[in-house]
Amino acid sequence: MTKKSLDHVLKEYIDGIKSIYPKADYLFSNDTLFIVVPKEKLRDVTEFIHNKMDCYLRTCLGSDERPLLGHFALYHIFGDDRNGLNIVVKTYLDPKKPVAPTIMDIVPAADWCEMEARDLLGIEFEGRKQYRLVLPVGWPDNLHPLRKDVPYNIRPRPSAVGERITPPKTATATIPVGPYHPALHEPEYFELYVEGETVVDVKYRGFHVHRGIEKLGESRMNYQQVNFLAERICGICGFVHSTCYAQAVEKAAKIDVPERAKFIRSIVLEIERIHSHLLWIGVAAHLLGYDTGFMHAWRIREHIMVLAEFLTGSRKTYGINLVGGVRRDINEDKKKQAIEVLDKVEKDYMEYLKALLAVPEVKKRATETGILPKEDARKLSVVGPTARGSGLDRDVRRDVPYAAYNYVDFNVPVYDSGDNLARLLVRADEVIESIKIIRQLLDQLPKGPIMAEDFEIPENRAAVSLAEAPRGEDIHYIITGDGRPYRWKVRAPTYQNIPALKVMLKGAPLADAPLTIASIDPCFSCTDRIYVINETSARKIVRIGIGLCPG
Amino acid sequence: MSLDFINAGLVLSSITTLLFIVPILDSIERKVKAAIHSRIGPPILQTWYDIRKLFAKKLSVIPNPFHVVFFLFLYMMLSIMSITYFITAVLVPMWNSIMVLIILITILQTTFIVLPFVTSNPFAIIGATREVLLVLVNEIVFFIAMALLIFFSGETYLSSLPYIHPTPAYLILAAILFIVGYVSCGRQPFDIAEAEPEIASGILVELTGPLLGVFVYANLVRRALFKLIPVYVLIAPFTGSNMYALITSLIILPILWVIYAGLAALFGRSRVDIAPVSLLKLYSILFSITIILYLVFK
Repeated sequence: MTKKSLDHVLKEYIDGIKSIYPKADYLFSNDTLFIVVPKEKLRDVTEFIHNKMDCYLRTCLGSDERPLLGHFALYHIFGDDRNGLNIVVKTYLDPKKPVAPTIMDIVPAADWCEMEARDLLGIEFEGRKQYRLVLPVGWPDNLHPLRKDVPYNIRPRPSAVGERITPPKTATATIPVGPYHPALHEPEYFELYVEGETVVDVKYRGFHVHRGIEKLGESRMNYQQVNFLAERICGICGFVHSTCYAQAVEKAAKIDVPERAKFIRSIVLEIERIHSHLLWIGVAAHLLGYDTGFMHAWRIREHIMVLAEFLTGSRKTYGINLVGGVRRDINEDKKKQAIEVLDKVEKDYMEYLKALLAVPEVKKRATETGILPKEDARKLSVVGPTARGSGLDRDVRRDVPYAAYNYVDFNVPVYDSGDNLARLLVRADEVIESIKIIRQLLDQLPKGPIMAEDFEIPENRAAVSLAEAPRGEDIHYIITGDGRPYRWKVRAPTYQNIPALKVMLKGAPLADAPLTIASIDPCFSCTDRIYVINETSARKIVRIGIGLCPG
Repeated sequence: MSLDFINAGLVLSSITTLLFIVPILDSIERKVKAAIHSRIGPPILQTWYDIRKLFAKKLSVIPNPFHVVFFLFLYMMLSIMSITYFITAVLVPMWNSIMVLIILITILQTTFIVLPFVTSNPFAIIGATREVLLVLVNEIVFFIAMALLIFFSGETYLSSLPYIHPTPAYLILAAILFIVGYVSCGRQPFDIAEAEPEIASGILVELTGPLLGVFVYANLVRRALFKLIPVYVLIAPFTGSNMYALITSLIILPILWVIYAGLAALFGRSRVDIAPVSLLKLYSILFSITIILYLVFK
């Protein structure tokens, strides 16, 4: 994009917002337009950005800025990938009674992030049904852990709270799936309401594994330590999180990261994508009963795991990211061996893919199941292969380039059918593209240092960082503080994709439900505990989550 | 009806051998699948080890225990009884033995599909519902195929099949029985009842310890029966002797087991609304061919 067209786009945004609220403050930094509007104008501004400018909601977050500015703040982050822009709309809220208007009716994707801000910061949202989302049901009502006056190590006593299950009238049976079930590889809970073999409705309860990582990052660690914490958010794509976090701090502090470090980050990110997609393809084959496909996908993946270990020192959780660069270099010998492994993987993978797609059951069962229409995908702001499988041509590697992605040439696979097969094919094609990207990066790997020297991280700077994880775009939002982030918000791609399951599962055959759930490649972690108490007719569930003493 | 010492010895040794080797054949199947998967796979006696381990475990009380245990033991008895009857009827002329075999298999299959229903486990019942649809199609086809076999061959004695002339229509019928046998074994793509990753789990989800051991063993015996029948029907007319036919069938059984294992590794799992329809289409084509061939070569 030329400077002129960027100016033109920015002017369009600023003029539009000024026409709604002439006193709106704005600032453009890096690739992000920050706008401050009063809460009375939030809905109008949202409508303009989402509907008229055709942006999608990346996420929203609350922040306790009472110690800094004397009030709470609510941030809505929108994405304009066509122009490579982030638009951050900030609204100040009352320090004693923070209340904001909901934008959920305009942007359905805001449902969860609003409820998360309510749980963690006590921000109430007018004009919508409110419910507990992230915190365990037994957590005290008036204790909001991300408020700055709440210590990170508080341990309130859990209390049992009843939760009655009310299936819809059309359902003839309720099928509980999870938190532990062969179809689920991590703890999550779905209640499928079925009529015969057809799913008529679905209820989801998640966040069994909310670990308060953001609070830890804001309270206990320094900037560099958070890299390692961020990498532990996910057991599959942790490197995306640490990259995204490091980039957010680097953007906020305007740190000049050496090119070689950016290349190494991109190489490792693509290795992570390949192993994640191969893992998923194997799981999908297993769910479809094709265990031969499962085993061979993981056999090929093993070469990539060994390559990751060779380049970074670890099969997973590489631990090479730091704010300012990376800790481990790639020398000529490693480059040579990496190319040899990629040649072998590519050959095996192409043969495997041909065999997988020739299995009649795989194609038949993935076709026209778990359909997510393009319009629903847009409303729910889904990301990654879930979005690209529904015809939304979005990939932040291309649209908002980061690390070394502006040095490589690659295709973004997009399929329009919105079914499970489309999502499978997107991932299948992306493996080939990732191999292509790594080859280019290794070929162009520049010389020089891998770590920036002597940098400072000033306080009260904000930045949005994006990275295309295997499951979709990962977002980290940072407000810098004294020696550590003042506010660190993480939005993993699965967060954005799970609400779409309701659309995908309704009316689908029960047998396809696990494949459909798996088709968004959901990713949770696994440190939660749950116990169930039977008491009269109601089922009582107590979840033990962050900071709670086990019963 | 007579059972001389040679036949009695052959029946006894055949049944004893069969009852001992079916878990070994299952281990071979696992080994074959492992080879296709690029894995090493378990040792040859692994299924026996598994059964022994299950029997060593504590007997767990399950909901509705009387009905479950009753149907479970009925299933085991019927599996062993059916295969014993089949081997005996092959060697010894027994009146209307094909009809009796049909009845025995019908009861066996009914017990198999009723078993998960008597549990109160919703996952098992989903599996059972899926199995019912598949079994309905498959059992009707088995019934029709056996009826046509009687009609084409003019024999109601299993022991008489080695002495008939194999016509093309008869061979197609044998092919139908091979497919019926494959489907009854619950291998891919027809493993829809025990599709754990697809929420249905059949009876396996409800049983544990010795009860699961009983079921696993009975199921293997049933699988052996569904392989022996088509093999015998196919090769009997080419041997000219029921004793040779039986021995050849028993030799071919492990080979067929390996072929089925290899086939299963090449497929994914079908779905309850797809599998019965696909099967019906396939069976309709084969039945049409066999009837046309019968009319042409009559």
